[in-house]
Amino acid sequence: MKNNKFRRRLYRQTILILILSIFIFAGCSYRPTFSPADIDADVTILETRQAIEIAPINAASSNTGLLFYPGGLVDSRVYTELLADFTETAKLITVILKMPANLAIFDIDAGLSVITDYPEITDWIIAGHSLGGSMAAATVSENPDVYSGLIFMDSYPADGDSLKTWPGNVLTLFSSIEKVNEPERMQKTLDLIPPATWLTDASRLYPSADSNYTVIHQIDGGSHSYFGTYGPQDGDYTPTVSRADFHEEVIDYMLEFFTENGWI
Amino acid sequence: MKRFLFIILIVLAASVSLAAEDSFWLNTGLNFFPGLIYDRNWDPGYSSSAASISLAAEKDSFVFEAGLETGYSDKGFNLLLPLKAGMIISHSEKLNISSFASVMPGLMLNRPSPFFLFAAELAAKISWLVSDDFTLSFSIGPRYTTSPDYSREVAPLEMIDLNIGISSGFRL
Repeated sequence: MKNNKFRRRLYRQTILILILSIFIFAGCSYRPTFSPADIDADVTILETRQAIEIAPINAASSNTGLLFYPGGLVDSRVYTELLADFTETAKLITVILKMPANLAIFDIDAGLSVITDYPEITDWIIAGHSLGGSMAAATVSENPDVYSGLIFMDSYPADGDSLKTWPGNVLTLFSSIEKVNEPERMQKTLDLIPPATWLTDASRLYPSADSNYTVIHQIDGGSHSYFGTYGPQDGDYTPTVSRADFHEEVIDYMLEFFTENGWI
Repeated sequence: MKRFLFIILIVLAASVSLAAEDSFWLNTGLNFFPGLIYDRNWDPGYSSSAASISLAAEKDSFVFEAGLETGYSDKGFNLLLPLKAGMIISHSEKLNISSFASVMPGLMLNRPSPFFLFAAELAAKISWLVSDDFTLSFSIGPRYTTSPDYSREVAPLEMIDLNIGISSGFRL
């Protein structure tokens, strides 16, 4: 009798463990395909429990900072290669946030506790890839006075986080053949962000600075995981350009956005 | 992966040996990890949380335990297979005080392939014997966690956290 009771409990627990394991394995994070120690940009990389700080070497201190929200289930270190190159050229502080379980949804306002460590920075630009971009939009929606600008990378705001009247400007970059977030879905969220202007390599005319705006640029041939250095990500198409060329174009448009807004 | 399969075999063997004992307990618990050392630097802050399930057997004053722990950190989800050996230090009608040493091989759940993860822990545990078949416990102790592969391929991963655990035990 006691043996039967024991078996029943053991079977129940085994089934529970199997179900839990399936959920856990579905939550595997993408690992970096490089070591941040191999980055050759002229920057220092300081990693703490909360964040990864990238700072230019031998540069005058800047009043602008970039705060980055990583994509869902992606190790935050995968963005250090792209953002180290950006930081080296823009000569500002970049802070990549670390998220519990690599899911920004668990700590949407993580940026607020980090920016207090940089009292010298007056303009914080917040950026995010994929889920990170949506969570960045959520924290901007809740704290509109904290951030001066927002950058989406293959991302868009969630339905409840309209930034239409937010006074900051927005840059949206998306890869042309990415499948994970579907550019069509991004199109449907245009009414949640300030009025949009499309930028192409042939026409890079920014809107007037009289009112808030969004500038959108499609990067041809890149995939969803190209915003970091990982992948390929499940569901992504095969890219037709190199990651280095893709990063170069991302940095080019980010630098232009920062310059147009007078942040660098 | 071979190393991990080998570890699973050890855990299964330990579980079978536990099954040979007279007094079994099924323990389920939650663990909270305020961190002290992060990536080899003093950096206090909250580190991670985990849930665990284990099978324990008591023999005289000794307790052996094997199970599964799933948790998360800033590097994603992970899975550990704790193997614990403990001793009951003080025993009364309603309270047990015991100490444990644990080794926990496991995996950082990454794509396209996981990293090997290892943790070791010392803990003190107070158990309240609510009834003959049910206990509530509180435990505390330092835990060292490392991943040699992650440290070599990506960035240093060595942490010392304080493990604060609450658990319940059901006699089987």
